[in-house]
Amino acid sequence: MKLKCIIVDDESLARSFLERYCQKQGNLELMGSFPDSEAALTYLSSNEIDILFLDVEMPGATGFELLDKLMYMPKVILTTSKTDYAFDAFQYNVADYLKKPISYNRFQESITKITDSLNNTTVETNKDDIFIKTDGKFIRLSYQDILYIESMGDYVKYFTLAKHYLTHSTLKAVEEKMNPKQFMKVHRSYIVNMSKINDIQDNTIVIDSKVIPISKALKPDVMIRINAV
Amino acid sequence: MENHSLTFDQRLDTEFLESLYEDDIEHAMTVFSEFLKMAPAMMNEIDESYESGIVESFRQKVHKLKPVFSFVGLTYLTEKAEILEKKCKEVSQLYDISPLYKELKYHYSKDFPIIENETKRLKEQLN
Repeated sequence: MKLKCIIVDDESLARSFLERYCQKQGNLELMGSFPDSEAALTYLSSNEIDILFLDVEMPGATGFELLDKLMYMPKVILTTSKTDYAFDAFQYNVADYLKKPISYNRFQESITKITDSLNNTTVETNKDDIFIKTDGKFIRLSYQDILYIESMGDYVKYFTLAKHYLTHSTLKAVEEKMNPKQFMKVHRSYIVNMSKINDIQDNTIVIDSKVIPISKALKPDVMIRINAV
Repeated sequence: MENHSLTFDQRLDTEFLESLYEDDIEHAMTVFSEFLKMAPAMMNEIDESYESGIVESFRQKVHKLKPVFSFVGLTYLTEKAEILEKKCKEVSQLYDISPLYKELKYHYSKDFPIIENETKRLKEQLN
């Protein structure tokens, strides 16, 4: 599976290096390369990505201001020629911090770090359950017990009747692990267990009294899946 | 078969350039050519900011040019630009950092012909 990424940097030569590196790296799919935060935000408002290569100092909105406006948090790799942003980087939970000029070796290290962290979040066992990493240990969850999964920035939360479990991952990564016959993404922030739906009204789903929004674009698919008469 | 391994002028930071481009002559040539177009315009903008006397505007423009020097092996100019950028945070008027700025401009002007020659050589090597 390729990881979707975009580059945001106002400096064209810096972009050209990252574009080249993304092409060389076999597991990345470069979806766009933007000279400012505004153009990137427009793209991100309707497209989901896995990795964001982000400069900090740019005319108009800074890289951190862009992060403030995002509805979800992809893995962020800061690309800057200044080292003064370590505290902000920590606050925003960025995945890595690359100081320009960036060598291909350093770029590769960063991507390996991200792919390792994505791969280590869950361990598939068999078709009936999944292991998720939470609070420093792996916990077995039966698919049948999961009501729904909610995206929370850089984390996702699995809800069961008894408990909920927070784990470091993206909804996209979770979606790829779940049984598509049983689970369905109904909104950019929610995957639901189709067998747990109590009712659907207008653009919402109710599961165990939790009201979950259905996105406009996904509603037709939801209606087909529930086979309504 | 013709040997197309990448080598650079010894006055540049060859070790850094070799790690940056590996054996990708085409990429090196593209970046060097782009530097010849961009750097004079960026230096002009820095000059204009200096003349305007606005420290933060000047600092931002130096910040942008800083890594660009390294892309063509002028890593020592990146270091000088970094010092200049940091000094901008400590002064209230650009006059106070005038010697540092003049030094950066002097070395840039002195080394620009090296980059012109290297670009020409890379183009020839590619063709």
